[in-house]
Amino acid sequence: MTTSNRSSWLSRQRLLAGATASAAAAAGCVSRFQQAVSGDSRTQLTLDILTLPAELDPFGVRIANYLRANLEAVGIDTTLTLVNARNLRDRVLLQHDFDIYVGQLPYARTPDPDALYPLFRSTFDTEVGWQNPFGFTHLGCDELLDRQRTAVGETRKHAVDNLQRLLARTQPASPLVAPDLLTGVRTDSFEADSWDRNAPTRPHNLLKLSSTDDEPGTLGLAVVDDDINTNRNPISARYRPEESLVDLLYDSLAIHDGDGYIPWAAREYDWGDSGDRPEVTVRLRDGLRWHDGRTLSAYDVAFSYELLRDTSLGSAVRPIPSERFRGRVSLLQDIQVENARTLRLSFAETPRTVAERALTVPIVPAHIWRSRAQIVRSTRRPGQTTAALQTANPTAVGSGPIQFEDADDDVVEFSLFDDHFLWRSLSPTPDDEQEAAIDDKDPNETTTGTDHNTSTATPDKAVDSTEQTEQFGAPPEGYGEPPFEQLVVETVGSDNAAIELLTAGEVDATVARLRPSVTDPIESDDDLELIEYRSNAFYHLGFNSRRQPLRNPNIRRLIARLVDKPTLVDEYFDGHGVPVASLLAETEWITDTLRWPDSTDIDPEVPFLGTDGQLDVERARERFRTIGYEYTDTNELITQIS
Amino acid sequence: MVGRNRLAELAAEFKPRLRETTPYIAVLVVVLVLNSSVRGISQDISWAINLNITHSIAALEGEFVAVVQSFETELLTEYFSVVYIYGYVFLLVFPLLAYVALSDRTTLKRLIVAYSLNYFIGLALYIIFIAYGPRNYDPVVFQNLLYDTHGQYEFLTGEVNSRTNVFPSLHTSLSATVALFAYKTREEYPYWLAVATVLAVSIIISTMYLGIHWATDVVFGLLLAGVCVYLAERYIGSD
Repeated sequence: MTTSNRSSWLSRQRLLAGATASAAAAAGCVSRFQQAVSGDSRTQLTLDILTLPAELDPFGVRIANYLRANLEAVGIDTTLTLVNARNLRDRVLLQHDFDIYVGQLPYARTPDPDALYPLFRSTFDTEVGWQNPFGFTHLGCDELLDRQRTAVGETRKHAVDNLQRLLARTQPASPLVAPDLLTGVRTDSFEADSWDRNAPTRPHNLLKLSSTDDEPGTLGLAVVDDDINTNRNPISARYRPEESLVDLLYDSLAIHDGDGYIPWAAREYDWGDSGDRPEVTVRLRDGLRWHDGRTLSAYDVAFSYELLRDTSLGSAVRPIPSERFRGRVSLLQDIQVENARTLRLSFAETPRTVAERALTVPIVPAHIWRSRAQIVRSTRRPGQTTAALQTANPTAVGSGPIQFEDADDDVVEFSLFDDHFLWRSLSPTPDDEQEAAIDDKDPNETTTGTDHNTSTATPDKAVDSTEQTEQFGAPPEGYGEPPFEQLVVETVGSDNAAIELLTAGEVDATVARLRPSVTDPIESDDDLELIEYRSNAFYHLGFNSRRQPLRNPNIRRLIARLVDKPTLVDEYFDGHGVPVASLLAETEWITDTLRWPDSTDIDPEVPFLGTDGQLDVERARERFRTIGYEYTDTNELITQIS
Repeated sequence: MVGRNRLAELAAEFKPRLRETTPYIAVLVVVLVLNSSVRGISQDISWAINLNITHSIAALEGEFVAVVQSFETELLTEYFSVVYIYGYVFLLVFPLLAYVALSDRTTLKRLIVAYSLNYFIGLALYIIFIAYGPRNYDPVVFQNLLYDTHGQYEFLTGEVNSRTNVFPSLHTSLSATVALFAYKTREEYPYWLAVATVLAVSIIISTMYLGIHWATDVVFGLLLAGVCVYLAERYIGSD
């Protein structure tokens, strides 16, 4: 990081350090000055590590400090910068202003290999959000990403194998640990069995809770520093790896239920037979409504896909895509709205399982979001952006099972949406019957992208009620009974505080990264239970390949080799996790050569340069020399400025 | 400590004394309200300025706080926790009452002004600088003794918003301010000087022992106390 295109913030950091009399940083300035005078153009390599403070993520900062110590040991001047979740998002996902970050992958669940597509495809380099934040550009990688998208069966498996190996070899991101997350839940207010063992606080799993008494009460959650208090935008970038409760404010056509996809707002969908290019006809449930009482129609669905593709809805010269779900909707080629309840989606060449992922994006109301297509300028985001990405979406009108009620700095309140299809179909009202009637109407067929002014159709004929009840479609299995009347989210500052609220009976579950060392109060209380589950949100190092020296894969590999993954698991996760060598570890797609070898405990691709967590400094320095770097007399790692 | 005669005097003159100091109390109240009301915004401004000095502080002082924490015992942790939370409140409130009882209002006015200055300058520095405390920077080296032992204290200290506000330590500056005033009023309240000194020193050590502040925060807290007391002396004349 010594070249002149190094961003200015570190030098500002240095100036500041001087001003605050930081002796260490000041010494660095002096030696630079001397080098300038003596005509030596070589300076020490500097790197910055970006991560969350301990209270927000107790594990990331431990990894970051371990890495910092080892980087310093090999002669790299390393700083550690702590930022909050919003700023981590700004720096890493929006502005690409970082060297290395330590964080978690945005895998809320077991990923399909296509999840790698937006993360590493070179064409996403200029986009924001979880779209290639690494600035990784590798044509061979692009080819494999494309191939796994289009191929099926063994050919796809082969492409995915090669893709994993290429990503392991080039290390644009270095996967470290698959964590076992701990959550505390109360079993006196909600049935112990109704908490999902695999992901107790995943938003849709909360809908399967059953109350210990017959009255559905209030579900309280303690979250650590979630920005749901201030931002409820479902399409703008977030750092948080977990699914947010915002996902319960908006419905999608289908949801992934852990085992597979199930129709959600769609009553059913049928895959047509059109060769390699999947086509799906989606029939919406009858009587879907927005939280503001207006009718949700197929036009809203088509509008949502159009908005995700280009949030400016065609008014910008170049599309300004949403910051989430880009990979999923990039395969979508055409949408035909057949009538107010039916639409047909056509995809590019891809397996059906990949195309199906596009059905899980949130559906937003056209009557609210259409006006947000306006182009605005932002200090956070580079270039042009739109109001749709900038808005904090405070009222969050969706069609999901919960609706927003109120928020302040500490508490956000939601209530159950009475008209939601999950429980509305249990007792249809006269209103439903009318709504259902529009189903068979066939308004002028409309294609999205060309006509944004289509309005929702209005019901105009009364229909026999018994016939219509059948048309609602049964709620997906396991869902249906209202699990609670209210959902209250309490924002706290750390896992300690979350546990405190749980033991005091103020909340029913924690949504936090609980350190194993502080969970005793949960285990010693009969009304509480500690649930442990493996997360796919791997802790990893993210390298910014736009910057020197990280553009060089040899450097990235060597930095990855400064970290002993089993030591991280043992010492920082107290054994609650496993080391990983592939970005698809913990999935059925893991390639054999990148499985973690339990016998040796040594990474198959980037083996640790040391033993038992102790770095072999001399050996590591020798490695840096062999890839063309030099050391000064004082063991500072230097490179020649070109 | 205050004395029976003074209490009798206080009873008679309470209202006029209070009236005279009302403007000063009003200023303090305004500063306190300002302090709590701009919290949300001040965080945004802080991140916009983005002078994140955490690493510089850590690089400057190394593991000093860890050395303080190496004396950890259960009893000490209890003591320092109680002193940090409750002793601090007592230390700040007691002199306000005690100085009301003095016939000369100058000290009371000066103390209130010094408090106001501490909060005001402290808030300004919090806005300008982003700094996380030792427990947030490196939880392997520095322990989080206060909240790991007493999760409930987090709600008492309202620390959610103040995670980045550790430079300088206001616990240090306000405690030192009270101690300096206690020294100036040692003739009127000789015992208070002893009590205030012990409490102030304990609180200052507790900020580091509990892993909340860096030694650097403490040093700048002491400087801030000196500046505030000096300004209060200089600009609030005696009656």
